[in-house]
Amino acid sequence: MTTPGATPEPKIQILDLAVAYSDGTESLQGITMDIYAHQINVLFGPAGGGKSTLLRTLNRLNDQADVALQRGQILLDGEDILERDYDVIQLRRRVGIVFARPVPLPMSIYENVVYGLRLAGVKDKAQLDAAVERTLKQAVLWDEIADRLGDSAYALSGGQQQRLCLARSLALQPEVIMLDEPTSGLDPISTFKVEQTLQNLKKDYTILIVPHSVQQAARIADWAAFFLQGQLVEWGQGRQVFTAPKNRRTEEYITGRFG
Amino acid sequence: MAHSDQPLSPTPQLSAAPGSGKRGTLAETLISRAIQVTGISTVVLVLLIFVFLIREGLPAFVQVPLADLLSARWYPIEDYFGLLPLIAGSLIITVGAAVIALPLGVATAIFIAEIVPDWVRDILKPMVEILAGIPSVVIGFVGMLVIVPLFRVAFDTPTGLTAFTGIVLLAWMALPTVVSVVEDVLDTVPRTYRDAGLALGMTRWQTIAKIVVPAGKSGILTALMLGVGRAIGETMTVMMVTGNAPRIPSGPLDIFRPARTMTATIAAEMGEVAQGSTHYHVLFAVGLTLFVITFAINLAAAAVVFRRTKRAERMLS
Repeated sequence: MTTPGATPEPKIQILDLAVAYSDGTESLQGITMDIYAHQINVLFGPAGGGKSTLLRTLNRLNDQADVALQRGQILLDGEDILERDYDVIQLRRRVGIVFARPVPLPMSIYENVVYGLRLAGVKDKAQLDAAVERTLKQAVLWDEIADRLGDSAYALSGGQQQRLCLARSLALQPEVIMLDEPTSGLDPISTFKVEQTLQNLKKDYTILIVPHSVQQAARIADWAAFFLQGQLVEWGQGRQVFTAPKNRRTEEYITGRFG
Repeated sequence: MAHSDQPLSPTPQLSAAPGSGKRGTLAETLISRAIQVTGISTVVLVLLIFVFLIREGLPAFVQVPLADLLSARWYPIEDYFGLLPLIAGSLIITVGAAVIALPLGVATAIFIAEIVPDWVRDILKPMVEILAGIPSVVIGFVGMLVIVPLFRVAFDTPTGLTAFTGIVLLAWMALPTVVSVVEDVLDTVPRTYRDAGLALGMTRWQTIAKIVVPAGKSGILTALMLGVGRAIGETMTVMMVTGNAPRIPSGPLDIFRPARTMTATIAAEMGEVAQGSTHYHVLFAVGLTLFVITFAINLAAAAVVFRRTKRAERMLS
């Protein structure tokens, strides 16, 4: 089932990854797949399938949770990020994440965007200003709020806050951007804007997204992986997975017979 | 701040079964009356206390000129009724206790809430709460036997009964309140905040200092108010360890000399005073002053909490 054209290069290689939480729920079982650079990689499937766990493992946010077991390898540009002494702070700057519910920090819009940069030690005002304008434009938010960057981030609408959080991640110029149901709380217009943004961003970044519906998954996926109860059921090019799924369960889910 | 997306539990149908309708209504009426009476009685009690304090305290302001009340000498036997040394004593000891208890309490709360593993937390938290339950006489007792001799030697004073002794013990007493409240507040800071911080490449410490603690700022203020409220109203401990000399401090080093608080004065003198005498009324005036101060502190705490809920509502909209 190969389509003509160059095979994209893998940015992240996941090798036989298994994660289990200490309350007994096994969340990921033997996952092996690639995340391709400059593509929109989609993880989809019903709730509890392990998609969020995979995202949280990819930038080691799961270090904070009650993980009882973690096995396998995750290679980012060939380096195993699950190594104990891997620089987690550096990793999180390279692999950014946007959550389902926007989490603006309790400060102004401007400060929200430059927060990560300030932490990374950037002090130059011109550089910070430039980053704010660039990322807010990338997140399709600039035109709406350019004249009130000093306002509290809480004053923005939910859709604007979500794009602000995207801009905040972009400010660190990560290599990979992960989005966990970024449009679950958004209206259709904001959702459309975010999806459009992703299409623009994939030129420069590797995008990994858990969409909030099958329809959205089908709309945006270059590559799609179907997760069911901790297992990777099917993984392939988006067009193939959504039009000619090989696995019966994938087909049943896509056509809405369960989920 | 409960999660807004939690499903509401279905409202039970309140229609009584046929036949039992009348009895159900009677029981309902009785119960709701009983609850009303208890609820109202609390309010009435507070009002009665206030009225009583005013009735017994106001004559003091008539019988003793205001200038005398604001003088620096408290010596009731000879009709010197200067309240300033008492107010100064209470303020110094309360503020001192807050200055010690707040940073220590916040640090402890951060330690318990953010740093230790869960099983340690399950041990530490109940222990802190047990500390809150120790009667103040017991703390005063420990203070007299352990802290006082220690301070007498350490500060080379004729007696270890000083304002500072009271400050330390009161801080110790206010600590559990501060720890408990702050820990609860830090606990309610959503995990997503921490994740957002970590995801931006913050270290754990930066996340705590720059995101979690600022998010719980108003809760920390509430803890301060509650701690201060406990400290200023405390009687037994301070009476036992502060030496009870009514004098206005003349310099910062005077915290290592005896002091006397408003509460200790009332407790020590009320039993021996002739009812209806000027001294008697002045003691009530002291109580009234104390009441006004605690009331103001509670009001400030309520205002802070109220502001927090308003902001939370705005965030959810």
